[in-house]
Amino acid sequence: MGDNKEMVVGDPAALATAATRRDFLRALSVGGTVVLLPSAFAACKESGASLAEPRIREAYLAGQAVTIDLSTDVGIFRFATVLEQLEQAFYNQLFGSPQVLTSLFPSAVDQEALSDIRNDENVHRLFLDRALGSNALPQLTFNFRDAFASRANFLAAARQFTNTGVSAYNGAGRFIKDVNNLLVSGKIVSVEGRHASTLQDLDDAGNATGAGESTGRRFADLAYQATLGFTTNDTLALDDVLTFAQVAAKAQPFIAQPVQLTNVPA
Amino acid sequence: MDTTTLIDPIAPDDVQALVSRREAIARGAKTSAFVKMALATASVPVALAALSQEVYGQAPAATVTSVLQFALLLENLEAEFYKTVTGGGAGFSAANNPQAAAFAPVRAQITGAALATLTLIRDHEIAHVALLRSALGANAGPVLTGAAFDFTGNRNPGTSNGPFLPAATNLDFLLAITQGFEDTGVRAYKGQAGNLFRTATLEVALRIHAMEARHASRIRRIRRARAAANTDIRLSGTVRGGGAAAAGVGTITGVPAASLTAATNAFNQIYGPGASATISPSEVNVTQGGVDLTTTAAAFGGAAAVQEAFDEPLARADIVAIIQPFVVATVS
Repeated sequence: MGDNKEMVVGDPAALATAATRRDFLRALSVGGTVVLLPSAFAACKESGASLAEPRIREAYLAGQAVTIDLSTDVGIFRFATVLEQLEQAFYNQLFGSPQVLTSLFPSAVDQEALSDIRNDENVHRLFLDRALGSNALPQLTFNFRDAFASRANFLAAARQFTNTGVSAYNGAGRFIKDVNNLLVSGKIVSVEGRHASTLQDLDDAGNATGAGESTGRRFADLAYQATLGFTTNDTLALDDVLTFAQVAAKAQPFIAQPVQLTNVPA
Repeated sequence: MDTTTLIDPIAPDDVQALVSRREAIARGAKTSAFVKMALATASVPVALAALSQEVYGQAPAATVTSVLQFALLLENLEAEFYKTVTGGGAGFSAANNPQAAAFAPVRAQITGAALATLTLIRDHEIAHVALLRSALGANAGPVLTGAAFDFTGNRNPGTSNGPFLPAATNLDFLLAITQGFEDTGVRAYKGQAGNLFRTATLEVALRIHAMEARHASRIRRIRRARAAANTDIRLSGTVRGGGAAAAGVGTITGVPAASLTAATNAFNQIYGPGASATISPSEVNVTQGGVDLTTTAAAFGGAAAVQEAFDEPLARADIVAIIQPFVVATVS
């Protein structure tokens, strides 16, 4: 880090501000490099906060409007946090009640699959919070309606959420401005794809091992996904993709706060 | 090294200052043969991507072409693998697939839902080949058949005597190899994402990438149903651990030691680190964005969950090393 042509950016959002952006362009024009601090899109290592201690999380009030500016990567990942929070809350609610869990999913194999997914979604959310640092999205409030009324209801909601995640990351990828942030989203989206495959299998079968299975195709049946409102291409075998606005519309019915998007890239 | 070099992103105001693609076309922006070809074919997103590359003056279209050609080889490999296993699929014939007969014993063991799965995945891979060929046009090269690959891993489908030959008779071994091909595809597309940075081609690649992840997930569940106690194979379809330990081959029996060794070596590559562990960490990695997430995830599965929650990329050279034994031609 001894090169004086190197500029250290703790928060890439700062690049959007005039002074730093000028520095940024100057650094590039003289052949320097711009270095992000370890956390991919915002770091607090040198600002005093300890990376080992997550910040105290704030929460939105019910009904409080949430505005997310998508003009920066920080905004795009704040929006990703909406979906990760939603999935996190959904699975934590299931596992928060042993009675509900065993009532909906008595099978040990179902529980193992769902437990992994629950852990992954918690990791995704916690990671995004750490990466976003002071820009982390406060806690939203969710209402999953009748999703916990039956196994079928739960899986219907689960596959909606996970396919929304796949389609959101797929749609956002080309608008991400930092190649390292793109890579991080790529690391997450394939895991969402794995989950989507699993949840559609659970929906197809008696349980995760395929006992009582009817088709053997549901895990990646794009025509079926299209009936759930996702943009797929069965002929070209292309998975889901949705625009930011479409993703927000899918998530909104389950969120107590109105989520508003600004500077939506298209 | 705990810093990351940021490569010239397009700032939002720069993008806004650029004319729309339609305006660029109307103004007679330089249009390459590649773009014209792509425009003339079915794949509109790819055509738009190539054009946007030229207008924005980012990576040369040659880079995109090279990435798509690499992706095409991988999709061909997978498509021909499933054609060989199932003994069918678009473009398949006994004449152009010298290994199909050798795989008849394992084919007879694939029934019901597993057969439906492998058939669907086969058709997806065939569709991916068609899409990429369409996008590449004349740059797609000759049509490849089963004769271009040796799934026993000896680069000679005529003799079919490589170390992976047990896949032709042992369903558990075959399914492990199948999972390996799918996860190789997932890591390969992830490794190329940076080369498609800020293009519409990226979106197409991501959509294929997610399909490969669905496939890999499903294969894991088929395997787990055959080995219920093997918890290395996650029902969630995620990758736990790295190297051969992530493949879940511990319960495979009836395969010669030399073949198990070859498979272990392959899985160490498929789930391990690439030549550069910085760019391509092992799947055992628990550090994202420079932060070890093990403690953060302590209440939610700890290190194992962190490993599962993030898939890692592999660089092109790493992928080439994995697939070369199965490709007759020399891959570069």
